Amino acid sequence: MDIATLVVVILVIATALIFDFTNGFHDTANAMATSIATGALKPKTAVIAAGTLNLIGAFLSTEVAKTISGGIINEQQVFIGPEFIFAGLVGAIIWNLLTWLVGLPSSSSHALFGGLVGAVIVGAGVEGVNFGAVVAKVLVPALISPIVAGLAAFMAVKVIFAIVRKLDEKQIESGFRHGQTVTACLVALSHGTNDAQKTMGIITLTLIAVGAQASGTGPQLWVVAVCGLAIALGTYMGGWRVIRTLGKGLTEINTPQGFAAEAASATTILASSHLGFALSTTQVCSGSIIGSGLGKKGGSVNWSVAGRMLIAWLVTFPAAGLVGAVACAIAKTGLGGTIAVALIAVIVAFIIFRLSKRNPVNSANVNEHSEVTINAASNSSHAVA
Amino acid sequence: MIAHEIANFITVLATAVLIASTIGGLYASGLRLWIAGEVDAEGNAHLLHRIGSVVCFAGCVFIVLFALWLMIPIFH
Repeated sequence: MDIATLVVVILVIATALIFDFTNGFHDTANAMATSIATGALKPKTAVIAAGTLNLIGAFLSTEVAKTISGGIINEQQVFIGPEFIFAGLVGAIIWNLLTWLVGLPSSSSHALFGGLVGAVIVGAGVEGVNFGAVVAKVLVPALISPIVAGLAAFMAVKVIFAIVRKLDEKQIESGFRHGQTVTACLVALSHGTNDAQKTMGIITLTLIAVGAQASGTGPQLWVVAVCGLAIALGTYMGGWRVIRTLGKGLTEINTPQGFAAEAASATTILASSHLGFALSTTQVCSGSIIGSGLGKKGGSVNWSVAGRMLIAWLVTFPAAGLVGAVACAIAKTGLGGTIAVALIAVIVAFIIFRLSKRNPVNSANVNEHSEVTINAASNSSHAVA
Repeated sequence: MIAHEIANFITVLATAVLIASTIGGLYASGLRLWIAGEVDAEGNAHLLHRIGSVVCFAGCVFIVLFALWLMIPIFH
């Protein structure tokens, strides 16, 4: 392997691990936002539990995705060089960080697919992209996921409140606390078994592409370990801005609703992945929180936040694709271009982190407000109406 | 192809609604029966309520274990 290839491979592996970190960081909210919002778990306890379960999950499932993109890219027809993967990852990371800054949950998988598609269009042409799969695997799930999970959570809340209506509020709250913790942990474990695999697949396929690993072999133990650690560390760091939006911004929920939301999320994720209709975890969890909010008598949903989320889901793919395309255009000029993309990405990430410091959201203040704003002065403390 | 996708969607929707409602109903019933089974002021224990509660919670545990079985590929 020549020096230039080695540098690109190291960059791809490092970028894949950073993407894995942002994936965990962004998706902590999926499993733990409702538990933190209802007080079923303390914020720090919740992220430690979610991080640990993500790490365990990474080791439990050794099934690596057979393709990087799940059929969205015609990998058999076009050559996917490490530069393309690198550019796609950069697109996904930048989009994950931007949505985190404004506190919007968005699908890391869709960001990754978008970044890769943008890079492939620039690097190999439009024939490298299977647009039918884009509609089937990105657009349709973005619209369907919240409906399925929302209906499941809505019905579960209706059933729960019909049964416990004669109990007093205190008994209900404390009784469902334990159940909510268990269902939240199931979602976290499910996340670890699925999402760490994407990065393992990317690193493994990169190693195979450059001849550093035999074709047809699975991920090496060090790849499993570093991917598991990266997603667990990201989860532990807690994307507090997204946690606030999902836990407090969409609707005010109590422990039975949190239990129903998490149970509906876990059920929908498992049913969809085993019945051949893959849905996005982020969109499933957001939908179930909306459904649980609507299911309670007198409950309401902040539709402006829900609308912003829907727009973010629809924009994720093209936005990450645009960044991936620009990154690929620069990276394919050679090693210098690839290093330039890496430097630009680091600068953009630094700017986003600096902006987040203007109005930091952390474990101490995550439940204090319902909205996430960039500037502290404009932060609203109004609860959901 | 489209009919197949619609069938998959309906299956996922029905399964998710059914199982989420079942686990919610079992847990809520377990909780209600457990509280109803507490020893009352006259010192009477309500054993049947407690047994019913344990059965409901056992149903929840079964569903959680089944979910774990589905999640972990080495089990199946």
